[in-house]
Amino acid sequence: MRARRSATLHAALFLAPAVLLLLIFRVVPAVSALTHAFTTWDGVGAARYVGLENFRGLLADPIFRQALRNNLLLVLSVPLWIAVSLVLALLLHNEIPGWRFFRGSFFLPSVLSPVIVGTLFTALLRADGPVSRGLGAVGVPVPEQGWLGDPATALPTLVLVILWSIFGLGVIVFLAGLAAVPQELFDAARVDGATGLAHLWYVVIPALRHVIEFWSVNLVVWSFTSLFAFIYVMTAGGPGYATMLVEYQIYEQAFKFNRMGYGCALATALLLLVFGLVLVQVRLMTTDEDGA
Amino acid sequence: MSRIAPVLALLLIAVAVAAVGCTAKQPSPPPAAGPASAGGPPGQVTLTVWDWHAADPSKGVGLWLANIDKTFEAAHPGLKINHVAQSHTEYYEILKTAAAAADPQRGPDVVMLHQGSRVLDQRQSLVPLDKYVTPETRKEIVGWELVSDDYDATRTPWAVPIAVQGLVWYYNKALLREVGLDPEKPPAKWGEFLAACDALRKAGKAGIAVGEKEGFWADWFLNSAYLQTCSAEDRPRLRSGEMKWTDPSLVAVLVRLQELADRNCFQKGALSTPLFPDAGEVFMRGDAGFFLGLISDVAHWKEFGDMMGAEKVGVMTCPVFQESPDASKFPVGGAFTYAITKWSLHPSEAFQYIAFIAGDENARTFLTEVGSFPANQSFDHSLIADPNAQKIAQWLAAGRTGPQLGDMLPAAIGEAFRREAQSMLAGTTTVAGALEAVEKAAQESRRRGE
Repeated sequence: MRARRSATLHAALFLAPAVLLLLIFRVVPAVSALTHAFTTWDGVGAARYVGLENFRGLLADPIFRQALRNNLLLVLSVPLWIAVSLVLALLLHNEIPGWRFFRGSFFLPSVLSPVIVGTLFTALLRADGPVSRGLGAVGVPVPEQGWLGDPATALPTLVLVILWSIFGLGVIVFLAGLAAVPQELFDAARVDGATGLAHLWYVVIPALRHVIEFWSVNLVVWSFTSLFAFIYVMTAGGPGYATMLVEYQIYEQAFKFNRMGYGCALATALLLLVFGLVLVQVRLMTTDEDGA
Repeated sequence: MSRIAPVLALLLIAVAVAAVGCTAKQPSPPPAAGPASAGGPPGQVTLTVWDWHAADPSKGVGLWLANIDKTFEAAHPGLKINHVAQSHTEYYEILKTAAAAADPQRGPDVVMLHQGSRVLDQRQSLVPLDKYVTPETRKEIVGWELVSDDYDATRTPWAVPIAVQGLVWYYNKALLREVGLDPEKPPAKWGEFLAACDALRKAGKAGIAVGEKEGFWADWFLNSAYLQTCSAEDRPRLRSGEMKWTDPSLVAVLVRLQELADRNCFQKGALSTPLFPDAGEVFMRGDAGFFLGLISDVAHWKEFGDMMGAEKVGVMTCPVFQESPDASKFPVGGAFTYAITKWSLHPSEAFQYIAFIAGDENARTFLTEVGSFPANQSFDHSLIADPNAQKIAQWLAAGRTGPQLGDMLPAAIGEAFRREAQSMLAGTTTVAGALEAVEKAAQESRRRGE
């Protein structure tokens, strides 16, 4: 009995710092944002309760709709982010020539701060930058206003920059997953004649299913909540609203326009949206698994 | 268990400390008496000053301020200045955090603010300056209307203007000469200006160096050109909603802006070029003939003169597309001011410091050493050697100035205009569509009581 109590105490002791940090930096601000979402507040003076007014305003807000549309377009690019990482991980797993070098270099962009990546690509992608000059030299049409200055190319360009920044992390995740798959499975598939796409589709993907699920949930959450630095450095949501994302709109409303209450309402909506999406995603995966 | 107990006790203490830290939202009450700030010798008051200019004390405004601090401290032995440089980009966000904390021990006593809505938006964090500003100070310094309640210079001021800012057009005399134009007679009419841009483009140069990545250039153009189509009364009417953003007088300005884009007057990639410093560099490299710039601080006559040679730079007002009494004027406003925070324990000393900065001697050095026009107009005009600065000073003295449209507008409307103008220049909306969207943003802003 005494030993059991001691074990419980130990567990509580080890958990306490994490729980404390979670409470201070996540739960308390989230609850505060939720309560302020029903107020009009400038962040300094007293908040005034306005009921659902902020949420009604949000539904009628064309900038929110545009930001949400951009966010959903980013979510649509998640399969691309997964596919690139998965294919590269497979190549490394099969020890292609120079695989040790590539393993290190693929991971390098992941350790760079988004601010550095954003600054680097902003310079590279300018109208008179090396990318436009290089492509122009071989006859590829380049946007007159630069890749980030043209509303038609700004968001797709951003997708590719983000892909460059995170694909290495995906490679590492998939490599770890591949390392856990028994080699006999791949050998058996090879003996049975599975090669190329068939090998990928019928052997690798089912074997990595849980890793892919984990990584896709991560990327979906990430695409809604962790791209602020890229947007801030590269486009500030522009030109116009072409690259405006909900998280950037929260920043503008709360900190640039002093509309903290409305910013909190946006943040609450984003939280619910991401939570709902992840719930659907997990549900779909588990349903599929049950049925299989 | 015996080993766990002390650890547990420490953890509980840590939790308690953290909890106290989290709940200590209200500022601690000010010390009961005594002017001394924490950390200083007994009797010494330390004033913490925040601004975005102090980051580089080796030159420009940063050096000017560093010298002022030294002189002020020497003249006021009981006062010490703790000058803290903050990022210009996130300045108001950082200030908001300080205002929320309202901590007299760690927060600033004196803050730098832009004129106009930036001052009035912060009023609940500032000390009204009625009792500090003397009639003499009011007379010497210009720009009170942009720091006072209801934009009325006779009402309560919340900050002291330090600099005069304005928007003028600079041009490269050598380039104008190259394309067959008289650099002493820059294009004054809109048609002449467009023709000059065409000639420059044919010569392989851009007409205008534009940085529209952040949308500020379109904002500057609006401020520079609206004096031709709007009257002085229109500005408060626009703010109150009596005048709509879709008014023909504003449509006319945006039509000209669109015309500049349609005629390829900008350098390649203008929409992805930052205004600072890139667009200015395009002009200074001699890749563009014209630059819509400032009269103070940066992107101004001194910077261009130092880099290109003052004799190669010319200055003019916005080319006229619509004759009006104010057509030849240039907009003034939007420069920096200093204000006192509400939580400061030493407002009188803080004002002493601000008054010192705004004083006659520092106004003189602001002009001669920094190359910027001070709000304190008591300086000797014969001190100005630069020909472009002389011209600007003459315009200022002759009253060839009008207010800036943007100074009175809440941040959300300014942002809406900048984004819509970007979309318009990128071809994803029209002049009418852009202004309708700005009008909707203005209505929303008014609904919120901003």
